Amino acid sequence: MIRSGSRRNKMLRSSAALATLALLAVSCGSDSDSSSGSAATSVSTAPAGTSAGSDATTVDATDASTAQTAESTDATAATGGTTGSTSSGTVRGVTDTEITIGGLSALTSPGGGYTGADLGAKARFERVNAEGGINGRMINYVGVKDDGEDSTKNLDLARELVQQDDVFALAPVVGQGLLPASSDFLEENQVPFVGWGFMPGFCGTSFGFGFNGCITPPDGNIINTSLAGTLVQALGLGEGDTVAVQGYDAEGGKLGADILAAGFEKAGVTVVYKDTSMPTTDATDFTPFVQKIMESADGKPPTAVAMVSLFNNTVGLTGSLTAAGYEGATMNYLTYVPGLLESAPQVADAINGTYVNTQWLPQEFGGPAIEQIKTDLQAIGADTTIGFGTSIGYWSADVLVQMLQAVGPDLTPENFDKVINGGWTYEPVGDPFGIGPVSYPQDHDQPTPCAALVQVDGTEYKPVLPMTCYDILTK
Amino acid sequence: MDKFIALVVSGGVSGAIYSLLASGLVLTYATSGVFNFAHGAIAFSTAFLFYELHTGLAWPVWAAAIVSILVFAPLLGVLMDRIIFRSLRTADQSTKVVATVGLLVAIPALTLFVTETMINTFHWKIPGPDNIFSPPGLGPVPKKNWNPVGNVRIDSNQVIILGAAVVAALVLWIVVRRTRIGLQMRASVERPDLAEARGIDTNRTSAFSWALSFMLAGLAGVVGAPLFSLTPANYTLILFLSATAAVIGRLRSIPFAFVGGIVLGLAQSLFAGYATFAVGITGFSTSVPFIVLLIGLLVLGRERTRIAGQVAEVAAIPDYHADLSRLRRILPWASAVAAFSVYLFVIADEFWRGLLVKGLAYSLIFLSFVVVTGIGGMVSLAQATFVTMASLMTGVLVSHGWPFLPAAIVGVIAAAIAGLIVALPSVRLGGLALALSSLALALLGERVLFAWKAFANSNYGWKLPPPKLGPLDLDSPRILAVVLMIIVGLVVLVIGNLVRSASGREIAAVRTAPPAASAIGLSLIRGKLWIFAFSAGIAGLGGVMIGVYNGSATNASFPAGVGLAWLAIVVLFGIRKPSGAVLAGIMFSISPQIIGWVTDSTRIADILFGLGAVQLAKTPDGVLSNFSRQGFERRAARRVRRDRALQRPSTAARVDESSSGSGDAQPSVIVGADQSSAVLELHGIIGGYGPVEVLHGIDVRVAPGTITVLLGSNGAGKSTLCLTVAGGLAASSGTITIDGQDVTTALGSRRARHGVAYAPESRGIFPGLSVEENLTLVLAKASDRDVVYARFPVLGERRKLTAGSLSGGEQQMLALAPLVVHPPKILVADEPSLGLAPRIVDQVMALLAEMRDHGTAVLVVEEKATHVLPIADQVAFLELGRVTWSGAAADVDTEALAASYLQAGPA
Repeated sequence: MIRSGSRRNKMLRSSAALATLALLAVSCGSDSDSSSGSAATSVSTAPAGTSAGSDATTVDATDASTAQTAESTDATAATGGTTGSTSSGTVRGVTDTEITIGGLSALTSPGGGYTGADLGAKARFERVNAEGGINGRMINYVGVKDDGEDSTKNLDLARELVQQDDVFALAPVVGQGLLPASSDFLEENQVPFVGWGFMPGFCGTSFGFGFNGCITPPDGNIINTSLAGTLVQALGLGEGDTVAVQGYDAEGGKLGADILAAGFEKAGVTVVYKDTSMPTTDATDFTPFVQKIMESADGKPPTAVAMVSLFNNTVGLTGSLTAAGYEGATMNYLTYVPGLLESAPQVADAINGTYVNTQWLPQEFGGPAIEQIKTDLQAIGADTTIGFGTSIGYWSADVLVQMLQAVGPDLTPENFDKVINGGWTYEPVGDPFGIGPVSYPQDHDQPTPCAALVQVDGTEYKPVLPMTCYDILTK
Repeated sequence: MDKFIALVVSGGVSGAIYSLLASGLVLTYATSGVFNFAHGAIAFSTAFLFYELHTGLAWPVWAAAIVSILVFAPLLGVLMDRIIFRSLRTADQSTKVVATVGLLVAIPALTLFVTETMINTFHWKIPGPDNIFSPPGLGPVPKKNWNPVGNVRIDSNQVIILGAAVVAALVLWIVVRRTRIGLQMRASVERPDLAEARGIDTNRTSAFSWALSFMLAGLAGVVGAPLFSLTPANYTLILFLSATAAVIGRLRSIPFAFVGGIVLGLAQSLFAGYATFAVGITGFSTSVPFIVLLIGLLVLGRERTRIAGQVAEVAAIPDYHADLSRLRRILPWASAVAAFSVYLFVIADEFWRGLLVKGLAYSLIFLSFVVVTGIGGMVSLAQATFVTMASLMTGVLVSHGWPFLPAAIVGVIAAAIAGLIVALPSVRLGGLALALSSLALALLGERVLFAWKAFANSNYGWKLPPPKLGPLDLDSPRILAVVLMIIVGLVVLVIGNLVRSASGREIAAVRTAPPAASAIGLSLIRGKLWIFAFSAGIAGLGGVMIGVYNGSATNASFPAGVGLAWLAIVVLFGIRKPSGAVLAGIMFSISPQIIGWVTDSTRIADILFGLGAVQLAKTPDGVLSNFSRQGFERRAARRVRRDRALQRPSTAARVDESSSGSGDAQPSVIVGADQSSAVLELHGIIGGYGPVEVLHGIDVRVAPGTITVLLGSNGAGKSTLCLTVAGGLAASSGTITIDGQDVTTALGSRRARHGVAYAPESRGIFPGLSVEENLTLVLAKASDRDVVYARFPVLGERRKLTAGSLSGGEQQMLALAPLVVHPPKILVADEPSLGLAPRIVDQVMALLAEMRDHGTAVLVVEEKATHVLPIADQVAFLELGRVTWSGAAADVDTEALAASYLQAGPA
């Protein structure tokens, strides 16, 4: 009585249904740290004693990249001069003519994905190919696999990339799906992966490379002063000024608040309020926080308010402060999202005038680095708006490209480890530069303390401070 | 003080969004028994449509609002009612939860899929679904801010939301409590069959209540849009918070649910403003709503209605394989296991081997659902918590130098203890309340316990290096697979033994008939606690094994919400048997790959999940059980055909009574054959339940103003006959005519409208409604009700009490009293004397006689002849679905009657 067709239909339906539950897992559970900018709230600590590159603003980036290329050409000559020769044919992802690279990111996510990450990386890799490849090898970019910010799916995709697609390296890798299960797998299989390093896999591993370092080192003793440094520098804050620091109710929020406070204190600013009780769910009423902040400096409002919080709560708190008549400076780390101010007038209204600290150069600054990105995007037929995800994709790819060039023709995981982790620095590109210098092996354990500052003005982000590198302190 | 007032006002106002959503939740729970987990998803989809129309296509606000709130949402509600909710009314709790969870996933996915298709395929220039923050609602953009007094600040969005919440609560309360349709809705949810018999079209009331509820959800979505980012995940979370408000309203009272929302908003704000102690405990502030939910459930969640005379809560699943030999039962599974093993160890590449190993680990987790929900009958939404607990505990110990095996054992025990804690509310709560409390505890565990740095090692988690168990090195996937298969096999065996053991039977007893179980001294509490702990232990074991597969244990691997998804998957395959769980685990692991072959779109998978929910509503016992049942029916049909060919009495299994077949030569006795003017006629009625035929050809004619009595012992088919006449059961063959009109196909309320009144065996009253409300359902006019109160003063005294608190006799009076005021054309009474004292029985019989004197055609079936014979006009004997004698009451031969009773049983 059962026709095989309907039975097959049922099985397919059922099995299909099952699969989606993995997605439900994300949709029901991921609400802490969910929005795309949440990682910014995590500690971005700087390597202790990083002297090189701390004044990167003055480095002539063009010279740096030329020097880089010259070095790698020399290296090629040293190994016998034949470009494109490999040590053996059994290296995963590497042939005489090709390097296979993939990406693993949350392109989509219930909380907002890193749209454009695939395009940014692709644009950069296409340029490499257009310029002749790396040591005679073209980059075979298999695209970015989307984990939807689900950790189970992420591990499956990581295994797919390594065991079925045979990639040599991964870029970009971003999103909360990259739990230790996945990064351990990549580490064991010696797959270099480059991305925005706020997950544990980018810290303390040999093959996890954050393009601006390890953002959340395991111990909370590393202070990235760039979080506070930009505002201090832009407004000339110092003795006599006060600041209120608003964190949120999770470990990342507490750590972020601590680091912010330490950064301001180092500049001589008094921290009059530090609170981490703002919930990790979208709040609807900010009055309790506004009340406390407005009286935190001896009954008066403080000079500045810095917020490390979820997107919605950041916007809400900023708007409520303004509505309550706050006239000082507000700063956050999340709301630089190109296109946001035009598409969401309520948000634009709420955060008008606020400063936003970013971890890479916003497109509003212009300059050669930005122009290069736009050119590359145009070349692959993509929109030239450099969105949040696009930046991550681009810079991850850029760092990986410099790494591959540095390793030279003998491209194996072991050699990669030896060269890059044996003391290597990514030199910034352009002036103003896009992302700061990143050095390994140090930046496996600390972030690069470089940041830029913009200010929301109507429907635009006004450039205030280009990428500037500050100090790392250890407690 | 100024600040305090400001906080109270702002907090209260901010809670209005929860009030608005809670109103809709309470509406549907009170009128359909379904707690709609998808309520937030409806809000999302309506808000999204509004966004696309207003922001995307630049429609004016009023037009976009009308289309989305007044057209789209209610129509969606009617559609969902038709394809899912209607079938859910009689389903058990886990099915209801899962079906609405399916919608929770599918409806937003469908919305977004349609949008993306329009953008990508048809190139419409409308905004995409990503990164929509604080879209406009009904109010002005940017919002207006006011400072009415002191420090109090309010903006235009808040005013609109508060206004909408107040209006909604008011309107709903009036509709549910004060209108006829509201009364009908509440009656329909209590006893749908009885409601139908009373002439209420339950399909119509159901559609109305769902349309109304969806419209409210849509309203909440649109007015609340400016508060949040427009993502499905957000709206799911808001739903959980609104559930808190609904619980404060005891899931029954709309005004209290409204207050609950305000209270929740207040609690959050006051807590944020004044509670400084909590800052030290990470996650505590965020958890305030869940703590309120828990307290609300514990204080208010207890079921208070009297459940006298209740039949089994949940029917046991039939064993569709009972007719097969042992070999034939084992063979399919043995061959499946063999095929699986061959593929796993020999054929699969390392990628697929890994997937199957992961699937086996998930099977363990899913087996835990079989224990707690399939066997124990309790919906647990905290299984993910037990998984995380065990894996983190094992990880912590291993990182402190413990060897793997002792660490794992402690981990599993820790999970079991957690299970015990989650089970504690079950002492007071059951059903949905227990499910919600398990969810609240799971969320608390996730946010507070697993956020504890020392236990979870923040997001780094703990490394679980592959252990060596004696000669077995679990680093090798093949060895891990063997170990897992052995463990899964052992757990399946243990579960099977559990079902057959004394404890298992005890639990089944407690589950299917709680009052009976407690009457014989079975401890409900001990059984429930133990089941939960055992289930949690199994889930924990699964968690440890997944940790081994992953090589690490973190607090983020299994967020609390994923437990809902797991429940859905297992229920889809069949949660009552271990085989369903094992299959579910494997499928869960490999289906993303399979779907990936067909499509890249994540939306499609989610939409299919919704289809799965629809499927589930139709076959609540799961896919596997469906196959088993079809196989069983096929075999039964084959047997019947074969036996007929051989002219043998049928030996179809599970059919207790012999079926007639067309070969039997006995002519049927026509009851009331000498009645010239019959108003009710039954010709050749054959009917029963599914494959079981109970009535084998009944002919009855009842004239107006007469009482016809059918006497029969147990199993004769009395109730079946009454149900068939009243329209609650469709006859498989034969005709029923009323006043010459063929009403055979008019079922439910349509039969009632032909003038049939039905007094069922279990008292024809709605226990949850008051006496007054019960009467109002039948007697719309207050003057008619006054006649009843005058005639039955006892009812008058108790008119505000719930009918369930009346004694048996009073309930029967309540059921029959309205019929005396407006005597019906036909009355069908099923054992009206059942369970009543003789004095009351006489009163009941007097009522029946009174109706007869007013011209009603009364058809009574009874087991006890004594009290009914005096008022009877025609009498017949009903024996095993056939009438064996019929005649006037005066001609009843008591010896023949006795013989008929004593002969009861298979010939």
